[in-house]
Amino acid sequence: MTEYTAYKNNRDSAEEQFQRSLAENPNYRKSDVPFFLLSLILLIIGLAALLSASFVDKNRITFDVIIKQLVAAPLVVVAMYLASFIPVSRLDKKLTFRNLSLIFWAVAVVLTFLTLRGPFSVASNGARRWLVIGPVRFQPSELIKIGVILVFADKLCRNGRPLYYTGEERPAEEYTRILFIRRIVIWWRSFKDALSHSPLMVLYPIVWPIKTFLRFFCYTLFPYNFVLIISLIPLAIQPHMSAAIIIAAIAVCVLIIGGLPKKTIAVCAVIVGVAAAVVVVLANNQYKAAEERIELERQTREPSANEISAIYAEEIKPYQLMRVVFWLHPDKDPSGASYQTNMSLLAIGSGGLTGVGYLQSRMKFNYLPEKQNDYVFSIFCEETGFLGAITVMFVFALFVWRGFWIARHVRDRHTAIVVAGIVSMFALQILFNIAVITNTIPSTGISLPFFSSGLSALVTQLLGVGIVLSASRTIPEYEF
Amino acid sequence: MKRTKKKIRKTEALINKSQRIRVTVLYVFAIVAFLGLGYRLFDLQVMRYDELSDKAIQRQTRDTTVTAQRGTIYDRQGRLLAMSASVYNVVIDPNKAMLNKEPVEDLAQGLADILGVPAEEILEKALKTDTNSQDLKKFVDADTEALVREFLLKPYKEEVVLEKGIEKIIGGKPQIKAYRYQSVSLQPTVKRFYTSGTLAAHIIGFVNSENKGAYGVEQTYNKELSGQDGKVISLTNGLGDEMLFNDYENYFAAVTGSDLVLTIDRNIQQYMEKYVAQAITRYGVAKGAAAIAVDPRTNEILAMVNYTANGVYDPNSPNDLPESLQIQLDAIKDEAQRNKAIKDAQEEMWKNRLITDGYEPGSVFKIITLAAALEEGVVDENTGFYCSGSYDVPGRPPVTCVTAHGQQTLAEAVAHSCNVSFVKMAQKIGAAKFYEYIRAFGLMERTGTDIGRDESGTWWADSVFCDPKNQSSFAATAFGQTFEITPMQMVTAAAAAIGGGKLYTPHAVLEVLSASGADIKGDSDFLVRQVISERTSQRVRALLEGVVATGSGKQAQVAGYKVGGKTGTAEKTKEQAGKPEGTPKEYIVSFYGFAPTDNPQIAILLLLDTPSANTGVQIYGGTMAAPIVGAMLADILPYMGVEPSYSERQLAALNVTVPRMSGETPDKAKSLAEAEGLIVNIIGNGETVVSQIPKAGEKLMPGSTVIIYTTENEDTQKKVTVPDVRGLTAAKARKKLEEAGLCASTQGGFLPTGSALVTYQSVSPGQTAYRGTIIGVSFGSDASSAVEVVKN
Repeated sequence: MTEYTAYKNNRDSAEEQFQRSLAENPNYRKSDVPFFLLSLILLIIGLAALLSASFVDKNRITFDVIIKQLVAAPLVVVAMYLASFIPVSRLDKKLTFRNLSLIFWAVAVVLTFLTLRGPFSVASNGARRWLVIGPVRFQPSELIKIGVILVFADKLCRNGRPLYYTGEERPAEEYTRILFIRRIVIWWRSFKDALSHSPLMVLYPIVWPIKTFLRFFCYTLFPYNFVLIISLIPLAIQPHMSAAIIIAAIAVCVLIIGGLPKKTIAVCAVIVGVAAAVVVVLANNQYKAAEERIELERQTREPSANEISAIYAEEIKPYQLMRVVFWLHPDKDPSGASYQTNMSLLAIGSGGLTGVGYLQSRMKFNYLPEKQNDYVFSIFCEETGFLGAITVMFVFALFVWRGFWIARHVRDRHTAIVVAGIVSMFALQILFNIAVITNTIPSTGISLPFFSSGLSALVTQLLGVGIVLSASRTIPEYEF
Repeated sequence: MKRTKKKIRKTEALINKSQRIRVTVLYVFAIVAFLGLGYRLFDLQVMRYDELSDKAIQRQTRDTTVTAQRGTIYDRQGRLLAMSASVYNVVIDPNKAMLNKEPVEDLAQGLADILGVPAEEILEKALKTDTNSQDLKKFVDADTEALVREFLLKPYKEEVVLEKGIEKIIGGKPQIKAYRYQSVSLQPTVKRFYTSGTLAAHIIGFVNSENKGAYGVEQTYNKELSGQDGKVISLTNGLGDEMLFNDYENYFAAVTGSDLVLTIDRNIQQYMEKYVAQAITRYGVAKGAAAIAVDPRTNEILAMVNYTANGVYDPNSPNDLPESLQIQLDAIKDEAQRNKAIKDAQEEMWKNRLITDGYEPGSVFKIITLAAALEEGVVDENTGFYCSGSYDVPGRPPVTCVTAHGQQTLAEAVAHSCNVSFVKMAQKIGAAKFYEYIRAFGLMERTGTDIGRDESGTWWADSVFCDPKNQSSFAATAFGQTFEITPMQMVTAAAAAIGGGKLYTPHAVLEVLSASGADIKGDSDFLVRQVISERTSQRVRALLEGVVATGSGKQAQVAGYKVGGKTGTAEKTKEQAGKPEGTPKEYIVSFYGFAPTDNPQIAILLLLDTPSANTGVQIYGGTMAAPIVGAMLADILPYMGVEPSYSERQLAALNVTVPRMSGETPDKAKSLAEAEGLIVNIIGNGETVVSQIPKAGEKLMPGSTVIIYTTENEDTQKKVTVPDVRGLTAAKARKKLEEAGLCASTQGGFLPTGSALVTYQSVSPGQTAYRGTIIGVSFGSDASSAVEVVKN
């Protein structure tokens, strides 16, 4: 029996399982204490770090940023705790996250579209990312992250069957068990048979995988692609590339957990890898061209830093490639394109083993831009040193571990996908942020959960934690 | 049923297993990424800590150098010669002014009022927008600096602005933005002031644009004088302003440079400069004149005058050439050539020829020959010398004298400066021995003086010098020709010969006073060797005294003092060599004088390079240089407090006796008084003199005024107040007393010549006395009172 037919026979198994588990353990259990504590610890450390990073600007003491965050945090934590009582997916309740998923996503997307135009739209730094309603500023793109996770998880389970290649029946079980070499022999024979029908069949080994992949991508993955593309359109217009990248990555993670075939994962990984390599090569070529021009310029006279920046900007097109170029060459144009990266590295590096001490950071004095958003952890690294930074990273890792632990122990498939998706969202943001501030990947503006300022992000993150806590209530007590 | 149940369980397990594996795989990926980033942090924070934190500190800090105050230079009496003061340069950054859109016209006007620089000039500099730095005014003092600062702090424009961005939408508070001039800055620096201007410029040297000593003791003691620069390291924020909560200030205090106390005496220097300048004009000296005064007992340099052909530079502005020369050089068309010519002229002007340029000392060198001969015992005071006017020496034309001196004693030979006798003397010593003496007198090596890098002399190799078949160089050396030494070497060797036989390194620094204490060098630190014995030195002095007393140096005599010396006239052969026949010969005339002869306290060497032949004075050391040195000594010796010892005749000349004039006709009385060297003031128009002030037989200073009355009067019964004449020279004191209706007569020790000042008056100032009372004044050389006069 194939996996597919097995699943088809048991399409309602999720519901059945859940009802059974409810029958076994009729009462709500408490939510997962370690996960709750870990998120609180991270929130407190994050607020402390944000206080230190943001309390001074242009030789002026200012608590604007931290006060907003400090006032909002307790409210949001209470909201989070309340949200944890909403079940993720239960058949006997109306108010579940699963039932809310489509509307949640739709509202988030509509709000995001509203940022582009209309009475609530506002431009800031050449982008329209904010929704302003009276005194409230909101970045709805954050909500899309959760919306996408919920919608994907719902769809993955509503479908009633795992992701599969359309028109392909899984081969007989006997076939999978025979030797690899024998499989090639069988394949070769059928290829010769096909050739005897038509010589065009010689293209079969090339056409077949492409056809299968495209069919899979366009048919099976159609709803997912549709949701994702609709979500990304406003972000592309805003523009907010980093959010788009994070949402796409979260979507991929959800699909992987939801059962994306390994073959597809492999193909996608290869495509992404090749694309990345092409981008790097392209960026490097343009960098070389710019360097040659600068060298030419040098023969007549030493160009100023501004002129060098201008040459790079002229030679490297499209401008997004600049990030790749200066990721590879952070020592070039230190006062222009790689200023931020350099400042971050200096902040992190000057922390040493034990750091310069809490509140003692010097790079926050108008050296490091975005010190309260994307680079708050650089300041934290400078103040607490390697020991502080690695401790926080350890807590982050524990947090991610506990999240995945919950995803593994929940009783139904949908909840598991939602939890894993949310934890992936945290993991991706943490890893991307730290990778950016240490110049491990090209710089992009991804905030650090619990650390960076921003109420939209705080609400989204704590909502995520609330959902995970809610999910953790379905785990039987003995499994703790 | 059983089968179905089993199936369900199996399927459930299958799905969950796949999902669990996927979750686990994602977690493993995440952990790997965490570990990777952890390692990255370790690499940045621990492995690259030094590199990155250094870079960060470099970016965050600003070093401000605190220039150490350069040490002060004093003369031996503690009088100020050179000092440094903190000043500021006012600098504008025209580019910044343009970028900030500052109203430069207003700026120029505002600064012009404060700095006293024309506004147009400031505006012109402020509009050079392609530059980043223009000096508006250099070296402004602290008061001006405060005014400029105040001006810069005042905003030139104020503007009400709303906060930008989101605050504007929510409704931010309006703020007042003040615009201030940011393009002008005040840069602290130090300036060296030389309080006496050109005085002793060649000894002191100057400080160049990099604040380093150039020439003189400024160069030699640059390390001690300059001290150690300090610095302030302060933190700045990313905008370049001072960092908030800045407790990281690191201050490395500057160590002030040591002060120098020179052996130079400013007054002696002043006397010498005065007379050297006089000599230049009086004798039309073309190529400069120079003089050194040392204390021959220790070879301390007391004064050093160096008037070059290009004049004397002022260390306050060492680059300025004399105006006439500057005009002449500016006329050169080619820029490279002109710059080179200016540079050469400056170097010529800065150079201290007394230690760098060799010359043929001529007869002055006979001191060395004499000292060597006496020390060797080959001659003594009883030795006779016969001079026929010429003397054959193997290997050269006969040595000649101006006249045939005939049979002479040693003293006479020295007094006559008889070349023949000195050649015979040298022959008695022997070439090799003589050569050794020259070496022992330090004439073949650098003196090692601390007023600059000096040169050693140019001598014949010892094989040539000691060649018995060709004695030309050996014989000529005996009277100071065919070799070259620097004047400093000559003075040093002569000081050893007359000052007790010990050769000392000439030095100009008495003490180095640092914060940690004084470094005072004793005489023994400068002692090179004992060349001749104390006794021989005494004999040399006695013989040289004869030169001034009766011989060629007669004109250097100073009343009341025993002066010794030696004249010198050297033909400049080297310069002459390339010149066409018939050009006038060039001479360096010189005189070496010292006093007093029993315990010499000062020795002076004066050189006049190429005096004019048309002044009516013969070009000889004895006629040109000796009187100048005499005049110098006449001023300096009383100033130094050297007790004079007068002969009876000299003492008698101190005062004159007032003749009896009552009863005579006014004309007769006048001639009687003038015969005694008195001036007569006749009051009334009677036929005969009725009375006189002062009375007949009284002693008065020569040149005093005597009042004679031809009609009856009550003048002698009137009382007047005695003025204070202490600290005045003889002539001034006499004049002041006469104006008050009193008379002056000389009492006691010193002669009222030269620099001698009144130290005592017989009636105290403020008391009353009858008109015509004679006030006795005595002279001395109280240094503190002497200063007052010299300053004028």
